[in-house]
Amino acid sequence: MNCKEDCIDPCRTYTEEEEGDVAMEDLGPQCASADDGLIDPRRIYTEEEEDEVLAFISSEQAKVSSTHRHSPSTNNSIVEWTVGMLDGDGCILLRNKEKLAYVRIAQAHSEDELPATLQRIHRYYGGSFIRRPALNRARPQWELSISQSADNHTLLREMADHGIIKARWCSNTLRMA
Amino acid sequence: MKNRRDACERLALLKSQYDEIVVDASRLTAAYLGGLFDAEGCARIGGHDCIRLQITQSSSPPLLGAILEQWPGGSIDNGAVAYCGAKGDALLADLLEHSLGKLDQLHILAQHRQDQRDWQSEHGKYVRRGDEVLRAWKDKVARRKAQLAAMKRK
Repeated sequence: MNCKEDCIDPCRTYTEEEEGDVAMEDLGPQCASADDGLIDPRRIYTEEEEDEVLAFISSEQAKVSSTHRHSPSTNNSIVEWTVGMLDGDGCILLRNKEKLAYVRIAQAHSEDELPATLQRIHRYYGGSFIRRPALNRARPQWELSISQSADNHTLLREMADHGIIKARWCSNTLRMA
Repeated sequence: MKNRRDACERLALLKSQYDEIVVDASRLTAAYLGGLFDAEGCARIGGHDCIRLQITQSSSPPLLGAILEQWPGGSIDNGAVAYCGAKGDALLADLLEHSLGKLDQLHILAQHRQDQRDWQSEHGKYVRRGDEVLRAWKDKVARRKAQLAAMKRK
């Protein structure tokens, strides 16, 4: 195989017809077409194709974001709902020996799976679950505990900014953190 | 460490002052109330087959007053704000949009309200007369009350 015939000489001036051939040939096998599901960054797309490319990019972005925790700041009503829930049933604990604050919320729930409310808070703010067994005639409880340190006090900050009942309490806790 | 202990005591003092909070009305949104209702709310079908929505917060009367101002029609009694029947329609609509934990119960109440409205549009304000009509209605209400009770036991 004559290498000179297959390779493209960057110093040579090509005719318009040759240019078309070069554009098709120089992509090489590593740059598959959009039909294979891959995007070639060197290719110029038509308007219709551009829509497909944008849809591809957004689907890839969705895949990436689904593996990460959701960001609550993108949805204000979720933040307000969470703060309302914590204003009602939440509890903020300070540990004397650790420089940490904990936001805790417990929900009575007889079934084995987690209550939807705690699942939602966990999805946005993380934390760990404990299941407390039923005592006397009370139902078993699921408890979600979210630690808040000086490096990460998102939830306390949002309770201070959006809350009503525990806002002052949270502001004071933040000042100490 | 002493400072931290002092701070803890200061925070404990603040906790006992929930009744003195000043409510910022701009923070009292439908989404916030949805969360508060999921925590402290109660949905039921009460006397005279009226729906009843209640939010209890005995430690903070100013908040109850602010809720009543934003969603008029209810009443405050025993540390709770309560809405009965048609007076709770606006609140029910907002809660249906934002509540999560008690959404199933709210849907039962919404169906009940729809049935009541349908009856009124067909028959005016006349009470349900006739054995069959009355029995069918009472069965329906009893079924809904049982559904609500089962949801609360979950």
